[in-house]
Amino acid sequence: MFKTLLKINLKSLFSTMFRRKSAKKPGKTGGKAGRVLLALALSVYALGVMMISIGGLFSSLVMQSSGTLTEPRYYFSLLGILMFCLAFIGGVFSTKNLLFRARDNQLLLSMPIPPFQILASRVAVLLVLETIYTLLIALPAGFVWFRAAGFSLPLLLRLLLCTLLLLVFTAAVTGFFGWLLALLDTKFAKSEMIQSFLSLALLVGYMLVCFNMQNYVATLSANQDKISAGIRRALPLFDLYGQAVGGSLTAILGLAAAALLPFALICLLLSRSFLKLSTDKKATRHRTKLRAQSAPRTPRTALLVKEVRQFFSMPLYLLNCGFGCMMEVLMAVLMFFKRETILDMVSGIEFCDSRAAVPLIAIGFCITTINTPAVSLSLERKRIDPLRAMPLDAQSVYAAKLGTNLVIGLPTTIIGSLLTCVAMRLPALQTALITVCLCVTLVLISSIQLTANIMMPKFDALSDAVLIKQSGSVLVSMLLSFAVGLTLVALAFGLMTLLGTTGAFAVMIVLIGAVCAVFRHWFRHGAVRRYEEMSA
Amino acid sequence: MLEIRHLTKSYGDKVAVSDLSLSIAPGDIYGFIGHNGAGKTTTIKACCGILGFDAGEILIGGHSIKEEPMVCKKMLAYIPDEPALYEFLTGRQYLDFVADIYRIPKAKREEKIRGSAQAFEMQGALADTIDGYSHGMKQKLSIMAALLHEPKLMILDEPFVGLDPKAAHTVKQIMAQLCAEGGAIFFSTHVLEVAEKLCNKIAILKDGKLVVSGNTADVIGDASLEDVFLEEESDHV
Repeated sequence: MFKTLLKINLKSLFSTMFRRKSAKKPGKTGGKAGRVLLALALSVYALGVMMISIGGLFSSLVMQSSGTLTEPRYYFSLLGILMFCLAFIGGVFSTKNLLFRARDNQLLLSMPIPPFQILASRVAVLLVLETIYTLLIALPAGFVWFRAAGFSLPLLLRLLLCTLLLLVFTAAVTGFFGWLLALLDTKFAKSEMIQSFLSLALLVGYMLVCFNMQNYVATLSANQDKISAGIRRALPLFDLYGQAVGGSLTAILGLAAAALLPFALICLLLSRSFLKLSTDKKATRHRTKLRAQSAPRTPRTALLVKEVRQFFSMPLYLLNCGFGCMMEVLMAVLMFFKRETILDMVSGIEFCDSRAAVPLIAIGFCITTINTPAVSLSLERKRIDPLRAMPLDAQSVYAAKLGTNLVIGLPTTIIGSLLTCVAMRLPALQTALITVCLCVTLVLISSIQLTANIMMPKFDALSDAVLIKQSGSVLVSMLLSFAVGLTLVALAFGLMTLLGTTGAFAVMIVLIGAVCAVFRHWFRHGAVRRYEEMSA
Repeated sequence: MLEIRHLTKSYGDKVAVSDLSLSIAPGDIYGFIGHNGAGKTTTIKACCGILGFDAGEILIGGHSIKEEPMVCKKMLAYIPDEPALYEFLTGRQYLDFVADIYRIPKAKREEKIRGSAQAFEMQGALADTIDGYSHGMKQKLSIMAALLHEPKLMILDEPFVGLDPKAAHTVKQIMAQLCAEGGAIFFSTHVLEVAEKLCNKIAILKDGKLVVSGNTADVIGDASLEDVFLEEESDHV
C-alpha cells in the first residue's frame, strides 16, 4: 500500500514537469524524443549552472589564505548549514500543501488506507524533494573537497550517511513548519497574510545573503577559527555534522540521535493531527458588508483584475513569480550605497560605457524572475472549461495573463531602472532609452513565458504549489528567460561598441519591439488554435 | 435553438460520439441520459465550444459553434458537473466578474444578483470568499452566475449533484421559467426520476451512439424511464 501511494505521489510530482499526454492525438515518436532531449538538455544546463556557481563558492572555501587545506570539521559544518538552508527555504512553503492540502485527500481518506500510510508516503516525497535540494549543494561541494584533498572512500561513506541524517533533521524542521502553517490556516482567516509576511522575510534574508555573498566568503575564508567557534556555540548540530563527516564516531552517534529524535517526534505530531488538519475547512473571512463593484468593467479589464487578485491571494505565487519585482527595487537602492564597488566590478568592460551596462545587467536579470505568465494558464485548472464556454476570445485571455505580469512588473522595472541610471549618473536621454529598453524586455520575457505555458499547459496537477514551483512551463521559461537575458546583454555590448550608448539602446528597443510584434502575431494566430484545444 | 447534426468526435482510436443528431427547440427541456463514458460530457463540451469535433455541425440559434463561436457563446450558459469557480474571489466578486464578461449593465446585474441570491438563499454568503463554500453553495453560485446574462440556451452537466432539496426545486423552477420565456435547456443527468418528470424530450446515448430520442411520453410509453433506459442498455450490449 505504502509503495503504491509513494509511486502515485512521485508520479504526480514529476509529471508536473512535463506536458500532459494528450488522449486526443497519438504521440509522434519524433516529437516524444525531441521533448525528452529538450528536457535533458535543459536539466543539464540548469544543473550545470547551479553546480558550477556552488562549486565556485566552495572552491573559495576549501583552501585557507595560507594555502593549506581547510579544516574538514569547518568545511563540512558550512556545507551542512547551506544544505539545511536551501532545503528548508525550498521546501517550507510547499510542505503544508504536500502534507495536508493535496487534492486527493478526500479520495484517499475514503479508502481503506490507514491515514498513517498516506502521511508516510507524503513525508517520503518530502524527503525526496529535500534530497534534490541537498544534492545541488552536496555534489559540487563534495567534488571540490575530494579534488583538493584527494579521494577517500571512508570519508565519502561518512558524508553520505551524515547527509542522510541531516536530511532527516531538515525534513523534521520543514514538517514542523508545514504543520504550523496548516494549523494557522484553520485558525485564522488571514493566515495567508502571515504566510506572505514570512515568505517576504525569508526572501529578504535570502537576498541579503546573495548581495553579501562575496563578503561572506571572504570572511568565512579569513576567519575560520572564530567562525568555527561560533558554529560550535550557536549551531552545535552543524558542528556535529562537520565532526561526524571528519571521522568522529561519537559525533556520528550524536548526529543520529539529534536527527532521528526530532524526526520521530514530528512524525508523531503529524500523525496525530493529520486527519484533523487535512479535513478541517480553511478559516474564511466573514465580511460584514457586501461590497458591490462600483462600475462595470470591460471583459479584458475583468480578466486582468481577476488575475491580479489571484496573484495577491496566493503567497506562494507571489513569492515565486513576483520575486524579481522586489529585487529590482532593492537592486536600485543598492546601486546608491554600493556605487563605487559596482563600478569597480564592471570596470573591466573597456570596450563600451560600463555605467550603461549596469542597469541592463542588474534590472534585466530581475526581469527574468518576474514570471506569472509561465504558470497562470495552468492555474486555471478545471476553470478553463467554463472560461472557454464564455464569449471570450483567446487574445483576451492571453492579454490578461500577459497584462498581469506587466501590471506587477512595469512599475518596479521603471523605478528600478530610473534609480539605477540616476545612481550611475547617466544622461537623461540614455536614462530614458535604457528604461524603455528594459520595459520592452519585460514584455518580451513575459511573452516567452506565456508561450511556454501555452505549449505546456497542465490543468490536473495535485497541488498549486507543485505547479508554481516545478511545472514544466515554469522550468522551461525560467531557463529560456535567462538565455534570452544573456543574449540581450551580449547584443547590447556589441551594439554599444559599434554605435555608442544612445544609438545602441535605440536599436535595442526597435529589435526587441520587433520580436514582441512576432509574439503578438503568434498570440493572435498560432496560439489561438492552442487555446481552442485546451480542456481540463 | 440547438441543432446537433451528425456529430462525431474521437479521442485517438476511441470514438466518443458517433453520428449524433439532436434538435432542441425553444421551450424544450431536453434530458440527456447515458451510462458513464457514453459521450454525454463530450457532446455537452462540443456544444459549448470547449471541445472541437471531427465531423458534423452544431448550430445554436442558427449560428455554427465552429464558425461563429462568440455569437453562440453569448446565447448559452454552461454549468459543468463540478463547480469550477475562482476560490480566491468572494461570491459577489465572482458574479461581478461573470457580469463584466457578458457586459451586463450595473442596474440589471444588481437586480439579477439580488433576485437569484434571494431565490437560492445566498445573500449572507456572497461577501465570503468562495474557498469557504460547501459543494452545494458553489453549485448554487455557478447557477446564479449562469443566469446573469439571461441565456437563451442552458447547457448543464449533472446540475442536481450536491444541491439540497430546496435548491434543486428552485433550479427546476428556474428551468421551467426559462423555457416558458422561449429559452431551452439541455442537460445530462443520472437521476432518471427527475428527467422523467422535468423533461419534455429525452435522448439516451450508449457508447457514443444515440439509441432513442423524442418526446418523453413517446419514449417511455406506459413504462418508466428507468425501465426504458435499462432495456435500451441491455438491448445494445
